[in-house]
Amino acid sequence: MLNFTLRRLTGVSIRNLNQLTPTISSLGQILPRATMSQEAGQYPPIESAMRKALNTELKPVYLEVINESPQHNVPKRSESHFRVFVVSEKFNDLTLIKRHRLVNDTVKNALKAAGFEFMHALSIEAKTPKQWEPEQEPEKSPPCLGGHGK
Amino acid sequence: MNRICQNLRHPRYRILATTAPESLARFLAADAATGAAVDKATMDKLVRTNKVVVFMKGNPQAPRCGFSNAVVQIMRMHGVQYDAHDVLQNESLRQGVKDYTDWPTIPQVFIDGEFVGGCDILLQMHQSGDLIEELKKVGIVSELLKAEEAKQQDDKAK
Repeated sequence: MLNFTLRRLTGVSIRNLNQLTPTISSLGQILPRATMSQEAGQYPPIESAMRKALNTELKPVYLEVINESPQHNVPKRSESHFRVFVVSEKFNDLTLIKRHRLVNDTVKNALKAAGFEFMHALSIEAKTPKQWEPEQEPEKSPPCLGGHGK
Repeated sequence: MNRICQNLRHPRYRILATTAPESLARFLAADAATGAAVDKATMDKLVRTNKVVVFMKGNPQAPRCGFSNAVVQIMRMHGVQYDAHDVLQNESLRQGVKDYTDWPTIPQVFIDGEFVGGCDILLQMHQSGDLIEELKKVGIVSELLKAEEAKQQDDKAK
């Protein structure tokens, strides 16, 4: 939340905001998620860009972004494989494919603005609030079969 | 387009047997083309070679990706005859299909020339029963539907 007000006040782009977050994370008590950060006092860059974009665009009732890269044949600390579980009112009148396209486009635009390439794999579960039970866990991704080793 | 047709006739172009019940997929190993992404006209042809066409990593006998494998297994469960393209063999095809559908990931499933979705969507359609409906629309009777009907016949007979 604080990120968005800051952004509006100062008119900074997402890229600059990533550089600003170290200062925000020093307010560790006020923003609980900053205390859960890993290296350099901020969320991994791609994941945080995704969360910001999905939160702004879709205004979800519930959002989970899981980095599944460790399950795959990629270097450590990659951000190549993600699973997104979103519950949002905006999906109410949309078919499955339209919902997935909406999520894909949101993430694609956010990453482009932040200067990243789109990730290697993105699994999406997009539910409307009616379809969602709060106890529901996201689906598990199938096991990696090795890919092409690159 | 001509190149693809020439490739089709070339002995290097392998098509696995469709007789065995396990291998219901035709695996089309195109040449590893160089240069720009495969263009729209070619893509239009490729997605219409069969009622169901899948772009995946690896081939149906040996998928190289868990998500592609999930698609293969679902197709197998429904007993669907389909064409499979291995995008790992052909970088311009890999980029071409992504540009064609404006969809960033592989696998990609086409039914009746229309893009249906990737692994997640196919899985959800399979779980909700929508996949059986979609297959019926193009004239494919799913194995699961047949099994269901056979079971109902048995129940009625008893």
